[in-house]
Amino acid sequence: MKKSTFLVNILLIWAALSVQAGYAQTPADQAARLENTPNGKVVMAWYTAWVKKDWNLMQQILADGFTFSSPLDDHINIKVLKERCWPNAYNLKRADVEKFVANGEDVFVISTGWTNNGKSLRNMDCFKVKDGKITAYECFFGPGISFPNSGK
Amino acid sequence: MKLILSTLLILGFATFANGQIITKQDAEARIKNYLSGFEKKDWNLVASQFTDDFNFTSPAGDDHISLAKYKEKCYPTSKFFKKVEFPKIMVEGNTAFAIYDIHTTDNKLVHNVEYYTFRDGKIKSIECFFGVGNNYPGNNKNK
Repeated sequence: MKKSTFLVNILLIWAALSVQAGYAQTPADQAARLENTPNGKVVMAWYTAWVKKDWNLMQQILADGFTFSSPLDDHINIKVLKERCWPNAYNLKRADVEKFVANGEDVFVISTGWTNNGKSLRNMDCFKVKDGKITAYECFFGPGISFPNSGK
Repeated sequence: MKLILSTLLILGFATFANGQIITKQDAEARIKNYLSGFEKKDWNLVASQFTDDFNFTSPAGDDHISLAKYKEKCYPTSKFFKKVEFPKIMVEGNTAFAIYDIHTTDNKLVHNVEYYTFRDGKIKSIECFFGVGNNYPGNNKNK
């Protein structure tokens, strides 16, 4: 086999394996991939709003009648979200998208968050998106401290 | 011509080596069958959905535990299973997410979501996230 043919083949194997492995594996790649799905932009804006503590951005991406649920919150509205959960934003330094599946109105994301003092939370975030806005969010707790101000 | 042929061969090999992508229907069936095994108290039905090197992770102190450990630690919760429902299953490639509701014999609800990876048409790994409810059947959480 000629050297150039050999190199082409190596490249092709790499390409084939990469495509099958889902290609984007790092959080930055996953975030870029999510951003390119029809409802992914608004979901990425959700994480940006928390990390940048930008309540104005948050309000822009939540639909009227939005509900927030978690093991500790049963379909709370935007007003209660702001009072009860938003203070957590000030203790959230970074949020990474680990895995996601987007299908129609549903976007499911495994995210890892880091607090100001380096503690981590790995959760499943389930979004419902309609007409470019988030209509519902439900959080499921994985390993870690569950939410930034949990005190764990 | 030689280049095209060897390229095709190598691409074919790469596909084979990396395993086939499971169909959406098969992925859903694997997920439903494994939990149906808990519901029917049929360990063989559960185990036959998993690869031999299966691992399980959850916030209840399970960090990539093996199939043997999973049987020892998690399968006993099957005695609390009354009924399982699946509000949502989403499949993409060799991965899937499912939200399930387990109604327990002590009348509690377990509302969780799991992330699955598949290999050779079987479930290779499960990562469980706890939602509102009792976290797992038989848990003594005061809810």
